Amino acid sequence: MIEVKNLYKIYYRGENEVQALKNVSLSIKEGEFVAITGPSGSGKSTFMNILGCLDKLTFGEYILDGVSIQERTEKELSKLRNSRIGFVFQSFNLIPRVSALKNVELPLFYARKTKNQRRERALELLEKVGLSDRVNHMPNEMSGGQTQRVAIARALTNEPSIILADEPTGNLDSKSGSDIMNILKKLNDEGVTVIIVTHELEITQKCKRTIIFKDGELVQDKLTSC
Amino acid sequence: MFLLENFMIAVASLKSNKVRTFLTMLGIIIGISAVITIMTLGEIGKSNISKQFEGVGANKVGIYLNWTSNSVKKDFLTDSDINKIRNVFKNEITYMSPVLMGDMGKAVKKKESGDVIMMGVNPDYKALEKVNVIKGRFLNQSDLDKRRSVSVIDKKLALKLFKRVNVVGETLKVESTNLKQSFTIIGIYEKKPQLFDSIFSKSTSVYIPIVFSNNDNEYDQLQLQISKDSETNLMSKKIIKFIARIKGKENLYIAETAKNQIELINNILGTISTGISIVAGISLLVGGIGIMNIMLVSVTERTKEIGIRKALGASRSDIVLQFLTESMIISAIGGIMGVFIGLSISNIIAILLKASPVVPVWIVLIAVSFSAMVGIGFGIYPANKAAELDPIEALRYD
Ligand SMILES: Nc1ncnc2c1ncn2[C@@H]1O[C@H](COP(=O)(O)OP(=O)(O)OP(=O)(O)O)[C@@H](O)[C@H]1O
Ligand SMILES: [Mg+2]
Repeated sequence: MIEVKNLYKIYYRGENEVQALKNVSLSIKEGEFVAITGPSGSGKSTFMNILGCLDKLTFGEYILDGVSIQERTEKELSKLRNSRIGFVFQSFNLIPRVSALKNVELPLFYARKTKNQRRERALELLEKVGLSDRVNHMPNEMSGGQTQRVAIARALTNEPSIILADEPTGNLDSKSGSDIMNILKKLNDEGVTVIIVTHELEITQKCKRTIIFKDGELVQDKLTSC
Repeated sequence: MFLLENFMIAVASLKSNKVRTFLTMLGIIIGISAVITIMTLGEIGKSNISKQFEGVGANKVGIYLNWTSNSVKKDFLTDSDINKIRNVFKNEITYMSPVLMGDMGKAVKKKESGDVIMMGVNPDYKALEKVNVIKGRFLNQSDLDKRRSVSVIDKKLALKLFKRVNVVGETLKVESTNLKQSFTIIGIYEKKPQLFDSIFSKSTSVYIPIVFSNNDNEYDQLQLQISKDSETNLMSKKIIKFIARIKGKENLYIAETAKNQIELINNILGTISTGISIVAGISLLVGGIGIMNIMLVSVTERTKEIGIRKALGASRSDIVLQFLTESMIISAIGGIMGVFIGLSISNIIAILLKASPVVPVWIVLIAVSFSAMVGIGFGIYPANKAAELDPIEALRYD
């Protein structure tokens, strides 16, 4: 499903250039649960952003569903982000001053779903992440763990087949963190491909496959027995 | 559906910043209400002035002595000159009256008094100016022939001095700077309220036999009406030429037709209102720049939000629409309020000036579509800027 070939991401800063990703090649099949780890600045977030069609690669090729990403129009990329991919960020990224319910409804809004369809689906997902009693809360009225669960619900609204989570537990205590991991694990059991960036060893141990980046290079790609 | 919801979202966003939204709107409100006020006042002026002249008749001509430093006594028109004109143009002139406008005077009755202008005229003047006599009668030829000291006064003056309308037979005492005169009142007339009446004319006209006010029988002013079959401007030129011949002097008199006056006044009004409209238009432009400024601030403030929305699948056009909707709501509401305020102001002024109020639909349409254009025009740049943001950079923004 995901195929990356000789991928380079280079940032040009005046005279000097930063090679955030160097010659990365890998493929991820549907239903996998992949952990990406590595030291800070090794290019993990950069890689995730490219996988999520948020950022453009410099050289190489990224093929999603058999079509090279470079051949897609801007409109198609928005559509992919909207319904094919679900994002979970370390800093939650809920829209402030907008209720949990409305935040979860947002991807459906951009998918041009009706108000009733959105509401029904959003309530269903908030229940799934255990927040039925917080639907009308604003982001600043919830704990970090609750906020991240809203964000996961939001990532799931359009039934994406890929969840990209960049350090989803990074800002959470271990209890909330393991709640989040359990939700992601459950999703993976339901067939969703989950790719997660993490620094925590325990988390990598829960995943079926661990990829390690170092200085922008893929240095290890191994299957873990879980 | 999607547009409606976009609208609701924009409203919610604007509501969350009420003061700022209102202040931004104020620029448009002021601009549009200024444009509407000026344009509507112009319309009111035009339609009322035309109405006024309609009553008077477009085929009226005023002939005036062209005063210069070497004007002499024999340049004035005499009774025999007037008779000559009447004879030569008897088929073309329906009515003709020399007019002698006297000094300002004061009509007094016990403690009451009223400012008056003594107008020496002949019986034709009634038909010329369509004087509406409501009690008694207007001057007639025998008043002139017998040099009777009679007068026809305004209903307003009658009410002021005598506290009643029908004062035929009473005596009117008039004092001016150097003489006191008495006239028997033989008629009362009523004047239609006119534009600018309330401001400028505290005084009323008192019509008296022209022979009475002018012992020498010399006139510098002639009012006449050209028959319907003749061309007013052409005839007035012919009459001027004729006077030049009998007086033996070119360009001694000038003719003013009502048509000329309407055109002149309309031109002046048009120029004034165009001038002010340009200024008002500039204020609208400033209002538009205000919208653009605030929308740019708003885009910067919401950079992160834009990043999130893009990550969730908002396309370029979704973002453009979101911000454009906001700027259009500001300008549309501002425009509607401006139209309302502008129409109110201009029509209140019209009523104060005793002119009939007007609601020119075309001006309203122009103003509303113009403010919508301002909303789009000045909103498109910030909206585009938002849509162009790189999602990753936007997400990283704090
Ligand atoms: N916009 C940018 N301009 C220039 N350099 C950048 C930019 N974004 C990232 N980099 C560089 O690319 C490299 C990879 O960054 P990235 O954010 O992918 O690291 P990371 O592995 O996610 O680190 P962390 O674990 O701290 O989140 C870093 O050296 C960083 O400085
Ligand atoms: Mg990172």
